Amino acid sequence: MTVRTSRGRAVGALVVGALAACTPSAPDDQTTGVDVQRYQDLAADPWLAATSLTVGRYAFGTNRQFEPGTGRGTRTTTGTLAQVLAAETTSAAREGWVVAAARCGDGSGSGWPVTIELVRALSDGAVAVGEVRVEQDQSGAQQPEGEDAAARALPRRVLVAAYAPHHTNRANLDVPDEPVEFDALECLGGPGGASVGPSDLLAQVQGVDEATR
Amino acid sequence: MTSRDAARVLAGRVPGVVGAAAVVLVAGLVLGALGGCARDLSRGDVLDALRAQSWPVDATVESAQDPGGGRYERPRASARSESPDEPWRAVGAEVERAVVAGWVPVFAQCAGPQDSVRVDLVREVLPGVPATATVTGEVVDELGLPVPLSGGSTVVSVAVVAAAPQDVSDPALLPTSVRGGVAGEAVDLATCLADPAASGDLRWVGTPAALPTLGGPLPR
Repeated sequence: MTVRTSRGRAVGALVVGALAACTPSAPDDQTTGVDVQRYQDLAADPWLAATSLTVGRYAFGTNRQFEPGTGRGTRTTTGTLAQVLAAETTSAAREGWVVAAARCGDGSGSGWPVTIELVRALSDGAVAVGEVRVEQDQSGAQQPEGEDAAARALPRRVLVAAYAPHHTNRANLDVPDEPVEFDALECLGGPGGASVGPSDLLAQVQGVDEATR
Repeated sequence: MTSRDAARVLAGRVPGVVGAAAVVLVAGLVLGALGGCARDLSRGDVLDALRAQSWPVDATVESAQDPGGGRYERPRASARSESPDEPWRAVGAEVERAVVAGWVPVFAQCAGPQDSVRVDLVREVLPGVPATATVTGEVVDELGLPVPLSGGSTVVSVAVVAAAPQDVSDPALLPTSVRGGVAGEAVDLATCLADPAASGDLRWVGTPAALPTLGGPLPR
């Protein structure tokens, strides 16, 4: 029994050792001064006001896949869904962010009612992608019959995020001259559809499609 | 004393003088060697420095295991309290205590009178070791969901994060306000901590300085 256990442990150690030997180590260029500068651009953005930040780096265990730099923050603002989004996008514009896309949630009551995507040129000319989401009202407050939850002035938790491309990312994102109009989206009470603007901004800045571009 | 006596005394003292010089030389060598091997700053040193801070009161001081891949956890402290006041008043009271304890406010962000408020402060917790503190106030119910003040209370959270030894060796990922030493100039917090307008527009002053708890990888 003891011999068998020891043998099992030895085999386990060998397998773990072999797997570790097969896992590529972090490349020397996983994080460079370019990634640090883009990280610092996100860190200093007063609209984003990120409390969680990561610098662009190697995705551990992959064959030279990299992750973008990220910044995330939250806050609470009172208003209707449209008012809160308007206040956020107006404030973001002061720091150079331009609304580039927006889309409604699936209307299921879970997830996000709407997501706004913005773009901003960083100090080296690379383009970062930002995201504004507003949490569903989960307070259980009584809603008058026939009134749309999005149209009620409530304290709403806002989640903001931004992604700076890793220095190896060759995505060619542009900052539009004019912001995309999002207030006509059906989830904001407008006559428009469920989305406006390109749908692949996040995928591009995250380098998800790098291999196929 | 004859000249022969004097010579005898001098001959007796010479070995003493040489011995004393040798002792001084050896002591100098030992001190020099110790100086060359001065212990590097450790995470424990920074944690001890956080524990020694007079603010925030009743803070929990901790540091997690490094996750690998060149990333590292920074020493941190946190505290939480509740207040029946609006967030801007509750945060204002907490920030006042921080300033008395030597912290310098460098950033504030806020919106309407009952909306969340955030203030970032900086200071050195050891010579050459900066730390940042983020004070936030938000009205929430017992489940932590945002509600009007009539349905909950303001939770004031303080998150202090200090530079790790890796940051002291290479400050590339430190916020600008602490990278070259802690700035002594405070921003005017009246933007957020005076009676706010009801418009709810997002306002800020200064540059954010929240040091994330996870650092790295540093550039090679």
